[in-house]
Amino acid sequence: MAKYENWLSPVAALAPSFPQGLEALPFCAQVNLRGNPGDPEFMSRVKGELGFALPTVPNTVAGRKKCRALWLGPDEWLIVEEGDARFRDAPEGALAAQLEQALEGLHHAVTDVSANRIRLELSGPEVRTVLMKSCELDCHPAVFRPGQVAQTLLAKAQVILEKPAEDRVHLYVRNSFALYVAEWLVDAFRYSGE
Amino acid sequence: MSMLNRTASGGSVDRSKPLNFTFNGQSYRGFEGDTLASALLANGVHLVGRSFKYHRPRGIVAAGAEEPGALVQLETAEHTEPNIRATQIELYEGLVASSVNVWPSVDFDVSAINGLFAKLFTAGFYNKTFMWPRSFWMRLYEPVIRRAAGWGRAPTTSDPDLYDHMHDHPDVLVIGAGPAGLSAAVEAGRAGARVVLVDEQAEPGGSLLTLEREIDGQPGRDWVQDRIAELEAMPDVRILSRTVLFGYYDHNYLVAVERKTDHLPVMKRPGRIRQRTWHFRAGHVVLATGAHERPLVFADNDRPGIMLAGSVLTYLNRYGVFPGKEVVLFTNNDGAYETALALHEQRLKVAAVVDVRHQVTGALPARVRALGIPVFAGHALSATRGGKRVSAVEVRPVQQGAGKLTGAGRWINCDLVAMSGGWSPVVHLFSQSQGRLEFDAGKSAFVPAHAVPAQTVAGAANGDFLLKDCLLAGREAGRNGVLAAGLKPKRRKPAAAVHEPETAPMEPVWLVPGREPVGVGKAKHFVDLQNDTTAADIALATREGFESSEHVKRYTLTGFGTDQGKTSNINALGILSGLLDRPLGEIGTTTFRPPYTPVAYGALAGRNIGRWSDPVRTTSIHPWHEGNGARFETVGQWHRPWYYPKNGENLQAAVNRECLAVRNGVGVLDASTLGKIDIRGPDAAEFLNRVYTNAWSKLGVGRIRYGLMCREDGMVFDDGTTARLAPDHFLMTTTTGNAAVVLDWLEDYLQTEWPDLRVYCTSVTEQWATVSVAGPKARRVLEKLAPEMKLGPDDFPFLSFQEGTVAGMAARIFRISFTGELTFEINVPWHQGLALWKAVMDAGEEFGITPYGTETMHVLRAEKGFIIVGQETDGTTTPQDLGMDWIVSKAKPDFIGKRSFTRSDTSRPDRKQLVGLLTEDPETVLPEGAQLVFDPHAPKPMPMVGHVTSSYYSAALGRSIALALVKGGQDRMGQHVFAPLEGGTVTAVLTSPVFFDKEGERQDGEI
Amino acid sequence: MLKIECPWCGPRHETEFRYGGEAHRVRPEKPDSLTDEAWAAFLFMRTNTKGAFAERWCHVNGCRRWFNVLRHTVSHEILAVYAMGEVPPVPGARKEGGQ
Repeated sequence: MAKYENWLSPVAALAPSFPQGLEALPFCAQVNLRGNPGDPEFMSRVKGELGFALPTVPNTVAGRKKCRALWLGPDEWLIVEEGDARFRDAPEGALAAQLEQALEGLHHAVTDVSANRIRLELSGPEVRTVLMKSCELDCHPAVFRPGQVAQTLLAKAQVILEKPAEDRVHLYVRNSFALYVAEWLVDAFRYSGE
Repeated sequence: MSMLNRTASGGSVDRSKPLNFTFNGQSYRGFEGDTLASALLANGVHLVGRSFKYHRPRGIVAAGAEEPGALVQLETAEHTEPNIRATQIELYEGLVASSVNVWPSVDFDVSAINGLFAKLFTAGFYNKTFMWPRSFWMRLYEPVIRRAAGWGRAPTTSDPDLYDHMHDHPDVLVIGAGPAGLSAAVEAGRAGARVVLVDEQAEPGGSLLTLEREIDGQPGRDWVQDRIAELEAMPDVRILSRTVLFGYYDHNYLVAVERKTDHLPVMKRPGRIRQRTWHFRAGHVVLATGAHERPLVFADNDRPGIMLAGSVLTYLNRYGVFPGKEVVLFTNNDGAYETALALHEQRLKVAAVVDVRHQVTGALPARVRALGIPVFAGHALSATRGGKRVSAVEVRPVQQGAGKLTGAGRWINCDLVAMSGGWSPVVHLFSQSQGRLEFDAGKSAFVPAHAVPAQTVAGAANGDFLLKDCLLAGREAGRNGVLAAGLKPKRRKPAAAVHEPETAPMEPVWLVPGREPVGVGKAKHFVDLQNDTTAADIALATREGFESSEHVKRYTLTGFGTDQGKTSNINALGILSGLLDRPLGEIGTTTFRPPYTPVAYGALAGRNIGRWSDPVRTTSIHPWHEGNGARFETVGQWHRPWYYPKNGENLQAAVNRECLAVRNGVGVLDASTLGKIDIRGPDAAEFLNRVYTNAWSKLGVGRIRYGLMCREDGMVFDDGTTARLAPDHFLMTTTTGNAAVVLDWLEDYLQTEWPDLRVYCTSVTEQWATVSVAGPKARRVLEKLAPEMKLGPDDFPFLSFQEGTVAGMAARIFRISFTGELTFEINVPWHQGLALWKAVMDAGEEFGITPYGTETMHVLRAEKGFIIVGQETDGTTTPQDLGMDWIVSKAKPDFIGKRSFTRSDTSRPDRKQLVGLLTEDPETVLPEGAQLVFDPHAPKPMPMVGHVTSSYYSAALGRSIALALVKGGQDRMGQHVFAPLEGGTVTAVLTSPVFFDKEGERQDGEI
Repeated sequence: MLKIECPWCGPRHETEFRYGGEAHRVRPEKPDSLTDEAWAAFLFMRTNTKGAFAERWCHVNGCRRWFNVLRHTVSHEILAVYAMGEVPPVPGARKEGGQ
């Protein structure tokens, strides 16, 4: 069966009417990883599997464009693989299975969360204003910089904000809040020029 | 109507842009740049309203936020807003406003008759006069007083305007764009700090818009323009005009409201954000909020045409408006002389300057005298005349210190009195921030003494009234902000050269004596013009024993309302100090509270209204529920299908149908909202042993167990099933509403009490969509969708789970049951939920599969006596109270809550215990929450012995059922309880809470 | 609204946190060995300090970590933030002072 067949995003119906600067990103492999960063064995096995070291500086992202690890906590990361780069032909869950295998015998938790959150991309000159309207977090470019990630509230929903580049932010939103957040953002874009 | 009182030139109004407006039905013209107040004064309109209590005619007193009395009803219908200060309304084409608190009209106000009954309306009149008889209050006093004393009218329709919020984190937040604030902002901006400059007016400049001053040879207004231009060119500086900073909270969290379209004609506003609420977390705050001029408290000081001298100067210099042509000034300081000079320069008649000081020697008075204007030193105004406008004042010699009048009076005709009692620093925000004030006897003012961290007060707000001091203080405040941000301030430039008049010391006067002692005769010495508080009220309060400033404030209402005592507080305290013969510094101020000026509810709500007032959480199957006519109920933030009415069914009919479908055939429920937590690690089983009341070590892989969680106090906190996926891997489910709370609670114990346990918890609530197929025919449906799976009771027993392919989707299937019927809970990745649901509906069609909602779920579980946490429990219910001793381990040495079960209170025999109730009349459905008694004939108040927690009509049983918590109920089976209700007493018999299939024979369904 | 310095995520608004009550109350190792009075004291009694008060906070809308805060209950000034299991720093030995 083709990957992500029968998968329907909670914002599928709304996405066609998104304004310029707001976009729903495609499904991709997401894995929640827990483990002890103080354990060299854990760190090296993950690095061996992913090809890069997990970030240990809070609120930073490590990795490559296609596969990244977002710092979520001192022993927690979100591994994101865009377009399922390495597992294009494998079923869903391949990334999780691979990590699981690599970490066998170590105390860890690999949890496939590919369907737990949808992703939205904000881009363009209005991003800062839209975030200022929606988040209490300080999103000034000197404070929230490319390569950083933050967990915070957007309106009243928990989100993960990842900033891959200036004027671009990826939002990870839990599914049940997705429509609320998307509608909020459509509205925020509408009045962002004020 | 022409603008009779407009100067030939000058001011910053745009005389090429006339604007039409309407006040109390009369048409007038003003100019762009006017406020409603300046435009009214330009048209000779002083009378704008009636006073709160006595309905005395009232006019415009001030020129800004400190205006106590000139409140108007702005605009009409859905756009109407009550009690807006005319001094803060920018004029626009087509503006419509009217007086508040006038009935039937401002010119003819029958309630002015209240003045005749003035004795009734003294301090505390609400508390005293209308205490008795009680019934009169509702029928007579309240409606009449409301009608007569009520201020403006709230709109009756919902607010059509748009509001939003913004969040910003400046290094330096400067409040006030006067000379001190501008200096601070420029200093901080030049050093590269992130700066926000907030000013409540349309135009920055503060006092420099009123006073004619030169800074480094440049006119003050030009200096302001240059500073603004410089700030606007800086990338990290934001200037917010028309923005009132109204609240100053902990840790430099400040909130302001920006008026974005209120200055535009109403027709140009739709589709735009009307007001924006700004939330700041500032690194450093500079309070440059300036000062307010004080009125003088003299006899009948409230007539229209009696204004503050500084405000008169503002109208003249800023708006080109002279509020009168024949002016008497009354002062205790040199400032008013500047107004006299400016009026004279406009060829207006300055009839006299009355100065309570006996020695008047300053440079400004000398210039006034040189112009031939009479200056009455050591004199005071002892009375005023005039109906809807002041027409004459009585001047009398007064003792040094203004304690007593000492000679005969003379009347001087005038149409304007410009008074000045000195200046009060605007310390509202400072005080809100928990800064402490001290009384400075030299300045006769409360000034900031002890600031909270990361804050500087600068300029007049700090009691520095001279321009040169304001500029310097502002600069230093800006530098403080720069240093706090870890930046390097620019090298100091030499202080600016400022030309401003020298001033001699002022002489504080809190109460000017009248012809008769205060409180005697008809004359009134008004202290608070908004709340109609007089000096006599304060005296009465002290006579009745109220001596603390906070008590006097509440008893007399001084400083209440939208005004918050901007002009009245200091005079009230001064009078109190005199009455008690205690120094002002000892009396202290009352507490200033947010908001500084009123804020519209819409601005506080922002976009968090309607569908966004709270997040609506939905499952992946929600579109199907909506498309199939489900009615929804809110559970936590979730919108869950409540029932699915068919062909106009009501709730009960639909629920009966859904219940019978599950009991006799097959039903399907969207259970995706249940909390799901992935628990992993070598100590996972031990962890569950500690957080659940039952034992988990021996649970086999592939098996499921129901568990109950308590808090340390032994009270039930949550419940749910947990499956063992692998020896070190569990999947816990929680109740829908508690998912986040349970996860936090687990993390709490893992991180703080038992960090040695090797366990990780990860929320997967929204990774999985859950479709629960329940009923005797459930297996038939699943067999069609998962033909390769073995689903019989031996291969797939109750309380076990399997992985398999359902309708082509990889699924986890759990055999648990909340209905007592055979149930398969099928879990697939969230985004496949809708596809799975549709497949289940298609496969179930031949069996009459029926979607059911939360109401049916509640009935079915109640028939089985299954509890719902939060319905059968309320935080005071133990497992034993619920009759669930079977789930409390006796063998485990410890688990959360265990120790509390043996506390004397938790082991009492007369605790409220869960029972079933069967009403005598099987058709009667008890209301949930109904209180229960053992003896319906007991005298009232009857001893209440419990309450109904759940109550339904059971279609399967053909009668009503209820669950209840009843004192000692488990030992009272078969006995009666009574629910005394409005319509009569309902009798019920106590039974087991399990009403249906007591033996549990149905859980394997049709074999 | 307080500004709380999450030891991991840095300064955030209070809305991102959940309050956890008084810190340094250790769950007894063997609750069964306690008298009713001692157990009740653990369950219900708190110090209700006026002044420097050690309390627990969790960054629930962020990294989900629990930590300790030493806060002045009158001024709300936060005197220290420190990890679970650490002893509270001496009140007054603060890094940044007020005016």
